[in-house]
Amino acid sequence: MSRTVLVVDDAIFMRTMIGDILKQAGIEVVGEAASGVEAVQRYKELKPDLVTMDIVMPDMGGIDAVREIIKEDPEAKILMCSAMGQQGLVVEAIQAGARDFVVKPFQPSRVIEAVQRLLG
Amino acid sequence: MSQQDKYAQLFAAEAREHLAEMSRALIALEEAPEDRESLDSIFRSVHTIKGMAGAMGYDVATHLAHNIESVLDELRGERREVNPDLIDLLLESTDHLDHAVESTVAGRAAPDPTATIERLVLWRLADESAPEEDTAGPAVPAPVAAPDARDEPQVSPPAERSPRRPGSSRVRVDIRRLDALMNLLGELTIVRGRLRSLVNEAGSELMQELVEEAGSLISEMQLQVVESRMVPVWQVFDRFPRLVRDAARSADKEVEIEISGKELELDRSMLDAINDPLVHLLRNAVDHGIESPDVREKAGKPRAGRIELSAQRERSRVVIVVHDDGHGIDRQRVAIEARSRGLLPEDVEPSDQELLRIMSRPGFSTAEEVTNLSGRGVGLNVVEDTIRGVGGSVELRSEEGVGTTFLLELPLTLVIMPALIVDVAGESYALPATFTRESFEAAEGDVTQAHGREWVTWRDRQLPLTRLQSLLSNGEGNGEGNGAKPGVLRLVALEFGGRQLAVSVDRFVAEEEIVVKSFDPPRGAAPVFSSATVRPDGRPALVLDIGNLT
Repeated sequence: MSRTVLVVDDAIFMRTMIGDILKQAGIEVVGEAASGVEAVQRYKELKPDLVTMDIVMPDMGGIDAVREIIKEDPEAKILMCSAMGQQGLVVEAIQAGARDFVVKPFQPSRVIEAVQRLLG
Repeated sequence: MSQQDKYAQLFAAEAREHLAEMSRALIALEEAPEDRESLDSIFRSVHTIKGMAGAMGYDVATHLAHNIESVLDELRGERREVNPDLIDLLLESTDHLDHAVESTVAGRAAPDPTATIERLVLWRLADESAPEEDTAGPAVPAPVAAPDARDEPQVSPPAERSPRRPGSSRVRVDIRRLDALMNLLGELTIVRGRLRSLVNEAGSELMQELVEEAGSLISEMQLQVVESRMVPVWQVFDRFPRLVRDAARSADKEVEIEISGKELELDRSMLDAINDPLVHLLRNAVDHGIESPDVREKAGKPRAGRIELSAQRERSRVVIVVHDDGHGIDRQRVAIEARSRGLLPEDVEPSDQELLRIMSRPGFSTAEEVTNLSGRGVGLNVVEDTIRGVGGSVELRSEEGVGTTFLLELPLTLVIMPALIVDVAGESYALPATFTRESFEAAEGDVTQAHGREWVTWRDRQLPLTRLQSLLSNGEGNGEGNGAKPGVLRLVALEFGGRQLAVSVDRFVAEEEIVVKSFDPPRGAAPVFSSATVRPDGRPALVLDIGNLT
C-alpha cells in the first residue's frame, strides 16, 4: 500500500517543490493545504500517513496546527519544515507533537530520508 | 519547460504578490503602528520569500529577506516600536528585495544588497533610548506649533507616542503610474498648445488669459510629477565604497573613494539607468587608472589612490564626475593604435574627446600592447550609449601621470525637455536646448574649408559645420530657397560632451518645452534621431541626437 502525504505550506512554490521531491521518491501526495486551519480540516478528511508542515502561515500557524492535529490523532506523523533561524519554534513544534524537522532550503535527499524514516 | 524554469516562474509570481502585500501592509502599519495584523502579514510575506528564495538558491534575496525578518522579529517581540524612519527603511528594503527578485528571475546579477543589509543590522544594533543620530535623509523641518495650542502644558500627552508625525505621511506609488500620469500631462500639453494656436488666431482676450492660466497650471502639475519621481543619488552611490574596496583588494591596490553631492536628486529611471555605467567607470578607475602602490610611490604620489565621485547641479543638468588620480591615458599609444586602424589621420593629435571616441569603439582596446588601457575600452561604448540614451553626454579629461576624469552630464528628467524647434527641408525638428548654445547667422562666403570639412566662425571660434539640409534630406536643398535670405546661413551653435559644432537649418521656429516620446527609428534610418515629440499643431517632430551630428 502506498504511503500518503499531506503537504502544508502557504506558498504554492513550496508545495510544488516538496510535492515534486516526494513524487520522485514514489510517495503519493494526497492533498495540500495553505494554512493551519485548512491543514487541520484536510487532515481529518484525508487521514494521511504523514504531514509536512510549514511554520509561518496565515490563519493558524504550523505549531498551532500541530497541536490541533495531535489532539485529533495522537499518532499523527508530522514533519516540520522550518526556515533557518527558527530553532526555537522547531523545539516548540516538537514539544507539541511533531516528529522531526527539515530546514529550508531543502536538500531533496534530506527530505526523502526524513519522510521515509517517519513512514517506517 | 524545465523543472528549474517552472520553479522560477512560480517563485516570481508568488514573490511579486508577497512584495506587493509587504508594501501595502507597511503603509497600513505606518498609519496604525499598533496593528498586529499588518505586522504579522509583512512578516509572513518576507518569511515566505526567504524560504522560496533559499530553495531557489537566490542568495541576495534570501539574505535581504532574512535581515528584514530579523528587524520585524524585534517589533513582533515588542522590543522596539514602529516609527516613520523605520517604515522608510523597511520600504526601501522591500524595494531592494523587489529588485533582487526581478533581476534574479530575469537572469541578471542582483544589485548589491550590502548597504541595505547594513542599515537593517545597524537598526537592530542601535539602542533606541540613545539620542537620535543624524540620518542620511534631508532634515525634516521642526513641526510648527499648532495654532490652537494653548498654554496648558500639564495636560499634553507624552509626545513620543503620537501615532502619526505631521509631515511624515507618504504613499508608495508604482513608477508606472507616474509614467502614465506624465504621459497624460504630455497629451494635455499638446491639447493646450493647439488650443492656444486657435485662441491666438480668433479668441477673445479673456480666452487667451484663460488658456495661459491653464498652461501654467499644467506646467506646475508636470513639475510636481517630475519631483515626485526624484530620489537622492545616495540610493545608488552608497553601494560604491564597497564596490571600490572589493575591486581594489582583488587588484592588490590601495584606493580611497570620496563621495560628494549624495543628497542631489535625480529621476528614478535616470538613477537606475546610470548605475551600470558608474559601476563600469569605477571598476575601470581601480583596475586601469590607479597604479599599484609601489609605482605610485616611485612617482611621488601617496601609495593609496583616490577616486572622487560627485554629483552636482549645473543649470538644468546634473553633472556626475568620476575622477581618479591614476596615471591617465597613454595618449601616444592610443593614437598609434588608432592610426593603425585608420581611426585617426596621421597628422592629428587626439584631443581628450577624440580619445574617448576612439576608445569607445567596440573592440578597440583588444590589442595586446594596450592591455593596460584595455579595460578603458571594453564597455566604454556601453557607457556612452547608455548615457546618450537618457539624453546625456560623456566627457573625458585625461592628463598623463595626473589622472582621468569622466564627466557625465544628464538632464534632470527623461520626459520633458526644453528644445529649439527648427525647420529643415520642410520638416520640423527639435534640438534639445540643453545642448544648444546660440542661434546665429553667417554669410555663405564666410564658410571655410579645412581638414576635409566646412567650418564657420562663432564668437571668435571655428566650429565644424554640419548642414542638416544634406544630412536630413539626402543631399537635396542647400539651405537656400526656403525663404532664407540668399547667401545667409541660419546656424545653431551646439555643445555636446565638450565638443562644439554648428548646424545649419532653414528656419528657427520656436523654443518650447517638448514632451519626449520614445521612438523606434526605422531600420536603416540615419542614426541622428533620439526620440520624437508632437508639436502643438499635432504634427510630429523628430528630436535630433546631438551626439551624432558630427
